[in-house]
Amino acid sequence: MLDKIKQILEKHTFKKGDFADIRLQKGSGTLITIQNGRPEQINYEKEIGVGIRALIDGGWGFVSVVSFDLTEIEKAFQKALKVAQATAKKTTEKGMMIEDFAVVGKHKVNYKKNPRDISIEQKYEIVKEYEKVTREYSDKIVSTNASMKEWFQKELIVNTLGTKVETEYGNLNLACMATSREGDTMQNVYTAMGTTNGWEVVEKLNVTEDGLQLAKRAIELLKAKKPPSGKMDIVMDQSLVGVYVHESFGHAEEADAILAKDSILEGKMGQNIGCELINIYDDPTLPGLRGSYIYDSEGTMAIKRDLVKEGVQTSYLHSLETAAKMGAKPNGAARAMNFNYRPIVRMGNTYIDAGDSSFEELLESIKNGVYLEKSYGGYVDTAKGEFYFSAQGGYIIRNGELAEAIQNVSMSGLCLEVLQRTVAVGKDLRFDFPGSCGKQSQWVPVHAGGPPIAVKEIVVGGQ
Amino acid sequence: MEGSEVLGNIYHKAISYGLKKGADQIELFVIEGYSDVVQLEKNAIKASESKSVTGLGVRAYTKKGLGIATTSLIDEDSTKDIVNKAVKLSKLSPPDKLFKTLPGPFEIYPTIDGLSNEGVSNLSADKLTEMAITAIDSALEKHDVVVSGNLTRSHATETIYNSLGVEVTQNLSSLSGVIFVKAEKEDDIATSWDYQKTRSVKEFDSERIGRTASENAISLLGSKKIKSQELPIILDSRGSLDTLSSIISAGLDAFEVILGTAYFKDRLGEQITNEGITLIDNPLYPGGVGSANFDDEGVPHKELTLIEAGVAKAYFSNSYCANVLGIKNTGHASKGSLSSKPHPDLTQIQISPGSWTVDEIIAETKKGLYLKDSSLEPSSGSPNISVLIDQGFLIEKGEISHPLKETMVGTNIFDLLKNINAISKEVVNESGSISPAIRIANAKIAGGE
Repeated sequence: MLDKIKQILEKHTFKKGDFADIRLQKGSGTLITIQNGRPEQINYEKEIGVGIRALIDGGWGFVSVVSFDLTEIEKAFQKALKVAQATAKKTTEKGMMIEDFAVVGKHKVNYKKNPRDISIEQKYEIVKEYEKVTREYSDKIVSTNASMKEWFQKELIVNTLGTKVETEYGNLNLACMATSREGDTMQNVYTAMGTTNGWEVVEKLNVTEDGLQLAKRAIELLKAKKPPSGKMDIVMDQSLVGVYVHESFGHAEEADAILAKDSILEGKMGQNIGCELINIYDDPTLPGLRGSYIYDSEGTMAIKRDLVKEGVQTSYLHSLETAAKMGAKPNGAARAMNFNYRPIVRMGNTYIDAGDSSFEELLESIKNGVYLEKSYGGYVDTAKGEFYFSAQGGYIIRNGELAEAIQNVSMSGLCLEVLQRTVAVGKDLRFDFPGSCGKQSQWVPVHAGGPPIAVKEIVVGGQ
Repeated sequence: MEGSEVLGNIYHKAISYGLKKGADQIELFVIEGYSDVVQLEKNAIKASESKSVTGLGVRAYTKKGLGIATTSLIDEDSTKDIVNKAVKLSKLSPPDKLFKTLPGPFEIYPTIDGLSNEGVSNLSADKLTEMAITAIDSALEKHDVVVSGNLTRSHATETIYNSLGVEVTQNLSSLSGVIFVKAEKEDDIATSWDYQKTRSVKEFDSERIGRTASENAISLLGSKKIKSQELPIILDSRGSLDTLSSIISAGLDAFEVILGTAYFKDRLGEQITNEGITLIDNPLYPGGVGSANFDDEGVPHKELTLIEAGVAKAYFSNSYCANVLGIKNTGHASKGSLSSKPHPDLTQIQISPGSWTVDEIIAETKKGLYLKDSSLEPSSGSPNISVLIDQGFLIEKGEISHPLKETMVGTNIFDLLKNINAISKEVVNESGSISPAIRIANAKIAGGE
């Protein structure tokens, strides 16, 4: 198939600077969900299709087709060329492609224990136990939802630079949600695991204990205080630090945002943008995390990206085009949700590196404020540099110690101000945020984390 | 016609095949369509895209066990394969004892005008690109700003067949655009947007989208932090629509009622908000972007009053919830994606007008906040509201004073609904979604100052 796809590209003569790639994708997966003690759904999903990009005279065209039929692919390729030519006539901002950059490679997922060898029945039993222990903890747990999702896909990427990459990717996710209710007071808590490793990860989990802890937290939050409102000092747990570094910083590091004048970090390369305690990386090569991969959707091999070194910005995340436009080396950050989308610059596994403070020292560093834990997602306006994200709950910090519990709340700040106002970085680094990141309607699996950190003057939107 | 007859035969065969394989009931949901997108970046066309949007979702029930299988390929072999897979999964699944039956058949369906518009379906790629350029040009006409966004033309044919005799097809087309604008003045940066989604080319105004997005961004320059305090909040019509829709969608959803998480479970007939609020869900509005002849289970659409004079009137449901709760199926099944089980969802909210003008509401507010296209939605699956204000202004002495930054609102949905104390007589109709502006008497404001 690879050679036949290559032949389609070779039939057309490309001028210098023109480019095309063809990406075949074939994926399938299952989802098991149990809700409130009854099976909600067992799904099987199969997806095949081809995404074709062409860059002609500086105009980009993209065409997708749901077929592996070579005639259909060739027709779609011809259409992509036409669309690109039409775009070139209308655009004033020419696209550009790197030269002399070809990758030939093959990556096969090598599980210790392949999740697809485990029966649906066995998977169902694990989800069932997870949901059951969570639900049965208390009558005040009114709703529960436990799920296991797995996805496996193969991609074949061929381009006019000479790239020929065959790659595989798979992920496995287990999650549980509980809602507690007492009259009009409701609290919703959630925990999730996501990995690109195999079934051995699930075997190490103790869903009975995890479910109990989740339910316990949901019940405790019912009695927790309303969260405070105003500007205050905070300590964030590993999961919130994950969202914080991903949302407030990582998106602004994406080179397409820089080129589109849509990032607060434009023009700040080499400058001090945070306190010297801050080191930030994005590393898809870390094995087993949700944002781990070997080749990106352009066929570029992923590498570890040092984004901030002791508070100084050191590099961006790149696709082939952004690397060409900025004179940088590609670092494998172009990802597409599926064949129906163009690859765009994305993160993989983003984290703040560990510091040297104990948790007690973090609390002590701010004395009075709030400790916020367990992320519920968030977003950032990369152009303005303003972020917002939510915590499932937390505690008041009084005199350097954890005091009474508080309910779910969101917080906001300006990205760069917050990096500069970090006063202590914990030593316990964990990747506690396995998530799906949305950008331009494309959702891709990512992971984020860090140690807990203490930050001064964050706006907390309590009641 | 010939094509759809062939496909009809494939679907009939697929249903028979599923039943032969042992399913008690079976449903096919098919989408065939395309979408063309023009992506904009840094005041120019970034790329043009032409996408195939096709897929088949099969829902099979065997002894109350449910199996769902989906595929992007919809030829005869693939259809048979995916039906087989769904039936197999339904046999593996333990029974959902609450499940009674799939819906149908139904004799009468509404025929809503303007769901599919030839002007949209036949719109050339060049014309779509020209519209995108118009949006950019109008954003740049008076201001030196950075423009991005996209314009999208979509067309889809939705077909639902089930083993009880539901056999329906509808064509839906739409033209939509969203423009993001960044404005800068020295170190000050402001961002904003505008958007429109319609089912007709005539209604679509790319010039307005570009110009409004640009004006919005300029108006947000010079934003200031304020102190934490309690203040009234005025939501413009988009903010009101999004806020009330999000509250009602979690509050009166029949599935959430079954789960025990609906805010207004067991409260039908109770006054939950200002008596000036009457809110209906209307999927029958001609040419509405939320309009359709039937829901995602093939159940005929109808209008539903959810709040009347501030009183909660009904839950919105799909067939599953209606059967479990013993209520009428309101035809609100929505799949979200092909592989999802259909759950109740709102289609198109319309909120009745009040008696104030928007100017009167602002003038009568000595100190407060005015939120533009910025909603107060509950977060984290609880009734608590804790959100950052995206586009907001401080009102002082009854006049808009300055834009805000680093400002959050903290309240909860019960207080918010109770505290609505003004509703505008002007409503904005955005292709079927209709809403006035509202004022909330009081909420906690967390400021960055």
